[in-house]
Amino acid sequence: MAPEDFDAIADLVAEWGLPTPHERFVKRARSSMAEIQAFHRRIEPQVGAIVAFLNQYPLDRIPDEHLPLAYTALAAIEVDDAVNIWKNTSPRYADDIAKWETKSSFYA
Amino acid sequence: MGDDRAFRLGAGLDSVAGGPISVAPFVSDAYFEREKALWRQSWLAVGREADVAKPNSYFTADIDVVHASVIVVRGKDGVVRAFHNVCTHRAGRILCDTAKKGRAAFLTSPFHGWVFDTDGELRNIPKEGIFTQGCDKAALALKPVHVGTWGGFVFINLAETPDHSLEQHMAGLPANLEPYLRERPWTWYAGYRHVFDANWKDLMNIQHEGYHASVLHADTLAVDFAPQDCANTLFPDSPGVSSLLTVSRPVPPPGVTWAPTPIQDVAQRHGRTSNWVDNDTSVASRDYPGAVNHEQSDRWVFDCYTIFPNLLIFVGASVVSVMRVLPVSAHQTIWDWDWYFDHAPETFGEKFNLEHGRIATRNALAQDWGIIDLVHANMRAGVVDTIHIANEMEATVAALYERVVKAVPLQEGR
Repeated sequence: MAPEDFDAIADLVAEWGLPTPHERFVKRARSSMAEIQAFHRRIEPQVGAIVAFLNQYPLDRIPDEHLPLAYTALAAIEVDDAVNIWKNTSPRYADDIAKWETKSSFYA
Repeated sequence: MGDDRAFRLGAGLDSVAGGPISVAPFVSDAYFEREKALWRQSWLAVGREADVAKPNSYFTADIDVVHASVIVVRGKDGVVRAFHNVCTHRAGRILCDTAKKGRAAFLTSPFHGWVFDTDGELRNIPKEGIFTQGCDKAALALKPVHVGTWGGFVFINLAETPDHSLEQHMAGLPANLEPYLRERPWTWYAGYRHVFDANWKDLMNIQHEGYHASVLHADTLAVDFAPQDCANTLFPDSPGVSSLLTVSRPVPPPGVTWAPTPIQDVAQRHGRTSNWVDNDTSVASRDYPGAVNHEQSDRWVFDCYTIFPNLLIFVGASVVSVMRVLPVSAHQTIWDWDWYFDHAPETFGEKFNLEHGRIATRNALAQDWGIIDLVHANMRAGVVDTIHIANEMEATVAALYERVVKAVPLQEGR
C-alpha cells in the first residue's frame, strides 16, 4: 500500500479531510443526502486500506501529509449510519450537536 | 401556567413502585428552592484522583446552584484535600483559570495577593504591616471541604458534617468495581458540556432507563430491547447507590442476522468500544472478578450505575462514560459527559475504533437531548400532574424519585 494508491480519492480528501471531530460532524450535518451518499459510495471501499496504510506509523508520528487521509477515514464514520440506517443526514429528533461545548478535559 | 401550582400528589414514598409519581419535583420552583439542600449535603463527583497525582496539582469544581467553588489539591505531604475557593481576606476567588486544573506551589488570590500553601495554611500577606490591628494567620487558613475518593473519582461534600461517609455512600457495589475503576489506566478521551432547558432529574432519567431505547433510538441503536436487555437492579439499603441498569445486545429476531457494515467491521477489528461487538471482558474477569458483566453474558454491553444524586457511571469492558448534571434552576441543567478509554490509542486503527464508539454513543445522546427540553416544557404546561413509571425497564426512574422525595419531602403537593 502506497500513498499514490489513494490518488483516486484526492478530491474526497480535499473536501472531507477536516481536522477536528467538530468540523467533521458539521460537514456531515450540513451536507445534502446526495453529497453524503456520493462520499460514502467512494470512501467505503477504501477505509480498510487507509487504516492498514496508516497503521504502519505510530499514531503520534503519522506524517503531516497523510493526516488529511486519516481525517477522511474518520469522516467516513460520520456518514456511515446516515447512509445505512437513518437514510437521512441526521438521526430523527436529534439535537444540534454543534451547539454543545467540546470539552478539553473532565473539568472544562 | 406558573410553576408553583398545587400539584396532585402521586403515590407516596412507600408505594411509589407501580404508581404514578408527581411532576412537582421536576417543575416546581418552590420545590427546587428546598431541593438546594441536596447540593449542600451530598457526595458529588468532581474529578479524577489521577489528575491530582503529583504534589501541588489541583483542579477546581463549581457547584453554582449553591454558589460554591471548591479547590481539590494534593499537598506537598501527598494528602489530597479540598477547600472552598475563597480567600479568607475579602472572599476573592483564588483559582479562576478557565482550564480549571493545573499545578502551583502556592495558591495565591489574584485580588490582593494573599498566599496559601497547598495544605490550606495562610503563608503570606502582602504589606502585612497595614493590618495594624494584627492578623492571626493560623485562624485564616482556607476553609476545608470534606473530600474522599472512590474508584479513582474524587468526591466532595459541602456539609459541615456529612451524614454518612463516602465509603458508606457507595455500599452495595461489587467489591471489585472500585479497584477496576481506580487501577485500570483509564484515559480521558473526549467530552461534551451543554446547558439544557430541563430539570436535572429529567436528564438523569432519560439516561438510566432502557424503555425508550427501542423507540427514540430506533434509527441509531436500531434494535428492539426486551426487558431483560435493560435489566434493573435497585439498592434500597445503600445510602448512595440508587440503581444499576445492565444493557445487553438483544437476541436478533428469528431469521435475522446482524451484519456489520464494512466501516463498522473495520472499527471492530481494531478494538472493543463499538456498541454491538462481542464484549471481551477478559481483563476485568481475570483481574477484577465480578466487577462487570455479572451474568458472564457474551451479549453484555455495559453497566450503568446511578449514584445519588447526580452521577451516572457507564462501565464497559474498555470504555467508561461518566455523566454528571448540576442544576441552574428547576428548568435549566448543566450536563457533562466524559469518555474514558482503558488506554490512549497507539495506532490509527485504535483511534478509528474509539471514534466509532464515541460517535455511535453521541448520535444516541443527540436524540435524548433533542426531546428533553420538550418533555420538560410539557411537564410545566400543567396538563399532567403525575407521570407513570413501569416496574420493569423504568425502575431506575422510580428509585431516583424515591431518594429525592425522601431527602426533600413534598409539601402540600409542592
